[in-house]
Amino acid sequence: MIHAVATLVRKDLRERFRDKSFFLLGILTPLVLAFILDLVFGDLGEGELEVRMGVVDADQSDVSSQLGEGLVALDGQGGFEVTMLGADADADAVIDDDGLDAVVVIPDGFGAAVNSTDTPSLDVVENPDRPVQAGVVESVVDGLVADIERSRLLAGAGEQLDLTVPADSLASVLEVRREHPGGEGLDVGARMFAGMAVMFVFFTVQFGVTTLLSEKESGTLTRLLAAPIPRDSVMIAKGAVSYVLGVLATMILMVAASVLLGASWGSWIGATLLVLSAVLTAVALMAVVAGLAKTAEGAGAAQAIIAVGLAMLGGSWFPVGEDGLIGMLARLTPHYWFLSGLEDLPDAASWTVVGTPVLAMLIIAVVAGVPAAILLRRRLTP
Amino acid sequence: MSTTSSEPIAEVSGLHKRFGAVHAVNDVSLRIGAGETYGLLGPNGAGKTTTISMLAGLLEPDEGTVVVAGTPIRPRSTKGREAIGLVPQDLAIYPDLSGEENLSFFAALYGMPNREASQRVTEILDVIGLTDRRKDRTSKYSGGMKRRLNIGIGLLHSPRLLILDEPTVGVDPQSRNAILESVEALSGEGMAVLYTTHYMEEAERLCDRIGIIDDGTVIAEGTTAELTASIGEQERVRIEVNGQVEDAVEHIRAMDGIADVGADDHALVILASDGSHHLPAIIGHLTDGGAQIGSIDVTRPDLEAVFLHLTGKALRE
Ligand SMILES: Nc1ncnc2c1ncn2[C@@H]1O[C@H](COP(=O)(O)OP(=O)(O)O)[C@@H](O)[C@H]1O
Ligand SMILES: [Mg+2]
Repeated sequence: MIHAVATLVRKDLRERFRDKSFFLLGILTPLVLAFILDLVFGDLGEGELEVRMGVVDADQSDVSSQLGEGLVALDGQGGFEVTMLGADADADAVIDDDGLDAVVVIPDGFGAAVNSTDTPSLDVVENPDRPVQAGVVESVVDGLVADIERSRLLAGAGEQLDLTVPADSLASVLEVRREHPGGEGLDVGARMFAGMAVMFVFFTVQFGVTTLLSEKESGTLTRLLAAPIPRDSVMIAKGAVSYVLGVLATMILMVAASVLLGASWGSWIGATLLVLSAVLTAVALMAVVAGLAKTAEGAGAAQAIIAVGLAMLGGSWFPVGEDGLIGMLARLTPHYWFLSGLEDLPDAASWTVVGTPVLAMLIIAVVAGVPAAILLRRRLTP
Repeated sequence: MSTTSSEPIAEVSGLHKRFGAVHAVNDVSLRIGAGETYGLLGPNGAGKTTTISMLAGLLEPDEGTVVVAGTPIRPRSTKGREAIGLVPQDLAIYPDLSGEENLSFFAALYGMPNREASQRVTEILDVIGLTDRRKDRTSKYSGGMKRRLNIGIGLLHSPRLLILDEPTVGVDPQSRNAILESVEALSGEGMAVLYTTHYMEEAERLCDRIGIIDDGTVIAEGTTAELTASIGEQERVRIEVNGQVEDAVEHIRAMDGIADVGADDHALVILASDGSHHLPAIIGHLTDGGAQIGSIDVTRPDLEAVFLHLTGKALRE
């Protein structure tokens, strides 16, 4: 059995590497697509990222000046350049004239709001030409407001707030934001890239399971069935070929994203586990389709529709809502779990954070894999 | 019967296979001895491929048994498979692999050890005349070369029974002759061969014994001589015609000494005890009916005549 499977797998891989479609569809297309998306959505990596921000203290209260000083103290840290502007400076004009990425405005009444029950807010005026850098500033400010809220709750009524504390912790907040300017976890470009990778692996795995149908059509399956090998070895080999090609293509894409574009996936162990289980799921789902289809061509068409459909549902193209019916349906796709695993990975202390996504994908793989095996087995006739 | 002396290499008894309402194979039994070339002759859809598929363990029979070289053959078991070499009707080769790679793959699949495999691959490449082109992808081969490789793969593991399913369909005359010659050579080496065809000349030339199959049933079996003797000293008259023939056919059928009249696309096939003698009257009936006559052939009793006699149908499509 093992010998037969190995012989079949070797033959199939040789064929696939020889005809160019695996490289074209499995690697080149998603890579090119990711590059295009990267151009549209900004830097994938941001090792060089420098952020120039201005601060306008329109409040001129004790609280606001403390906060402003905290922000200015970040100047020179980790690629930040912070300038204190005049109290009545026009943020838009400064951005236009000096080319700052964003200006944080501490509005009039900020100090009063902090010391009352009102919700204090900070304004961020963004430079539309520098969306990534402005995004960093915005997320820093979001974090800051959250920190202030938290200290207010902790401090209790009437006590004087010490806003130097959040300014201190700001440095570490900034550090994280700087590495992942898309928000928490993965940056936008890297997420797009991963979305493309997991979508295209559904096409790549076709080069395995679907060839069972093309071998049936071309007549070579007759020969395989006549050979002194267990019938199941043919099916197992096709699944294995799918898996090998899928893992290969996805890992090449992930490494390419990291080397060429500087995307950071966090732990490679975690990322690899996610790839291994996502591809398994893709093989199982596409095998169901192959098992149901009449012809290889029909299978290809159905698989393409399902690959794109699942990708949209699972958030390959754009993040989907977590709640409601959409969120529930999304959780039925490997794309959702693959992407959510990758999102958590960069900030996680350990790769074990991918445990839940991996488990979820393995469950999908088994649920789809069993009927797939039954269906494909019935196709093993001349 | 010429060579059914000792233990048969292949013994098929009481095979049945139905596909829905179609009774594709209806109680077929065959025995093929060592060194014997057995021809299964029948028109398209007669059940030749289905019979072979059950014989090679590809398809589960509804009823009946297959034993090859003493081992029962079943789809769920790999036992006895090495004894069978199958050459499918369709070209069953991989276009993106070279001829050599195709052969090496199947050698490995049949469990041949590496050294033996590479030696055997070299031998087969020589036999099928592809040594020079062995490194080329088979997608670049001519039709004849592909056919030869298709047969070579079936021979690779030196089976005791070689099954060839219509190996000359769609082949140019030159390659066809090469294929027929190599089949002749094989049976000379003691290999049992099961050869299916709907060309009666091939069956006549190659086969020691022939089973005529129609509608899933073997309706006659024997050597060419035995089969033709069974219909007496009848000659076969084949006339290419154009135009209305129905009335003429009725008149011809009513003539004395006419055994059977069949028609295919462009020709009438007539069995007559003395064909040449009847020819003027036959032509008279046809021209009276307004038909135009092309070439006329009168042949000694042959398998096509037998088929016509047994089924009332012409053998060619
Ligand atoms: N897999 C199948 N499903 C349904 N009908 C089939 C199948 N295979 C063969 N048949 C039918 O069985 C009959 C015999 O076919 P086949 O064995 O291929 O004939 P031959 O090889 O003599 O041309 C035909 O009527 C064919 O249509
Ligand atoms: Mg056939």
